[in-house]
Amino acid sequence: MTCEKIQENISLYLDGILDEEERKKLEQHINECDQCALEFTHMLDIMDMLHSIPQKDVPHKFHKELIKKIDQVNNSSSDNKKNKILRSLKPIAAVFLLLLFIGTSAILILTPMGRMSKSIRNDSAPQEMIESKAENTVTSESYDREVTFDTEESKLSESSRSFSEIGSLQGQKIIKTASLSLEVEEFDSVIQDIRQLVESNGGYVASAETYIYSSNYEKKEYLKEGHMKIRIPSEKYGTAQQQLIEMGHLKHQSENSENITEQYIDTQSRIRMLKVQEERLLAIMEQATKVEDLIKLEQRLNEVRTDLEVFQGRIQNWDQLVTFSTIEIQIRQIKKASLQTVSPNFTVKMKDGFIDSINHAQSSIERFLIKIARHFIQIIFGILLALIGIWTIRVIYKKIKMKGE
Amino acid sequence: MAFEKLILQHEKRVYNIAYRMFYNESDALDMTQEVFLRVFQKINQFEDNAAFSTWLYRITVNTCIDEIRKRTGKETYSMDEPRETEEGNMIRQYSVTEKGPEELYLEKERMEALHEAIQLLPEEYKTVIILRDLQNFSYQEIADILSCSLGTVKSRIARGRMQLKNILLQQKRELFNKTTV
Repeated sequence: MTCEKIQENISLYLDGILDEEERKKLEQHINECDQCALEFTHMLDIMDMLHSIPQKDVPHKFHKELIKKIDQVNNSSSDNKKNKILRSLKPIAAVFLLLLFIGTSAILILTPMGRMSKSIRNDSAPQEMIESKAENTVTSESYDREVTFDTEESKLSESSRSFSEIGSLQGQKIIKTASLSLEVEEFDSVIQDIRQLVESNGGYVASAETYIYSSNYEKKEYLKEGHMKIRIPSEKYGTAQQQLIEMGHLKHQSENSENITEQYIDTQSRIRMLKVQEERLLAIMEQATKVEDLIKLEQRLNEVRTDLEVFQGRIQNWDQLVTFSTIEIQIRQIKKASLQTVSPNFTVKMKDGFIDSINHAQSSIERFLIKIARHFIQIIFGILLALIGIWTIRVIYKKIKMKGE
Repeated sequence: MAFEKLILQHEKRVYNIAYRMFYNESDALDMTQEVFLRVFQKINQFEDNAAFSTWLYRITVNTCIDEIRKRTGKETYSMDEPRETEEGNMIRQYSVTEKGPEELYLEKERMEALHEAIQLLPEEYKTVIILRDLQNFSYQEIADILSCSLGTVKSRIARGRMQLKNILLQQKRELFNKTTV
């Protein structure tokens, strides 16, 4: 190793970072080389001297002053700059956003909302009218019935007197008629039910009629009304009526019993008499020889027979009527929210109220959506402005932050 | 605050480095203050706690060197002790000092000479000598602080010491000459 290199290594050697091999070489060389040994000594001296230099203490005041200054820096300049600009931005941002908010909400609120309530009233009004008409017809029907009942009743009262003389009611011929007026929600199913009822009771449907009495094209609601005349065996007449009443909401009921026993018996006796006449005539006709007589007899026979037919027809008819009672049913479909009880005024109002609120809610929602659609572009614009505003503020804030550092 | 704790921990060392850089108390104090202020302001940028001291002393070294360069425009000498070359101009103060009993003054002068000699070192050597021999930073720490390789640190320390030795010998010679004269 050259002296130069050795001398370069002395420093490292003295710091203890020379590796094993180099160290040995150095030690060896120094033992041999005076020059290098001298260098070594000098280096050692210097290092000793350097290491003997004491550390200076920091003057006492200095620390306090330093702390003060740092606090000053902390509170003043850079932070204030940040805060001041931020603070001035905040109200600007707030005002900006507030204006946007006011603007967009003003646009939305501009068209007044409360116009439409009257039109809804109008919608429900015709319904009312129809119903009242129907009611009238029903009542008029039942009134008619009652009229007939009244006129019949006078007769009946007479005949009932006579019948009370005759005896018990069991041999009585009574024609029962009833009239029911029902309100139902599900029209078709009720009709079905009635038909089934009729069949199961061994009766038949004399006539049936259905029509739509109220149409609401917007909502596709069609309200039906129908009349049915059914004949039920008289023994089941009572139960059948009860069953019918349960099918819907009974609005009107009237019953009529016509006791035709007297007429029946009269007619029967007339028939007997006519039959007797008929036989007698036939007998005479057999013995008759003259043509004139025969012709006269023939005429007479025809008269008798015609009467007989009429009376027999009546009997048959009465038989029918007595055996099968008649129930006239009026069925009317009503909307769910508007079931009427027997006291109409309050419930009509209630119904109206319900309908109103539902309709109103529905149309307000529709209107609101339409409004949004109409002002769609303005809303989008407003949102864009707000976003731009927020983004700009963010950018400015970041710049300030960076400047502060 | 937590920062005060940091200051207390490193204050003395920073101050001593600065003092050795400038060999002037007020300068050293100014520098120390400056260093800590800088550290405080930049502490947000600092990431890793483990390397904090490295970062702190790097700032210290850089702050001092910046100031030195600002003052002299040259690498080597500070304003207070103007020097031109290595070749051995005498320090004014040195030449003016009165001499008392030889040993005492020798001792004192020796130390003085050393201080001056350090000041005479070129920037790179001065820095490493201060860090290594006066502050006892390890070679690796010095490499980290100065952001240079370990090899560079080794050679700088070796050469720095050698130069120091040469300067001292020169001065000694002069001193020797003076005394003898």
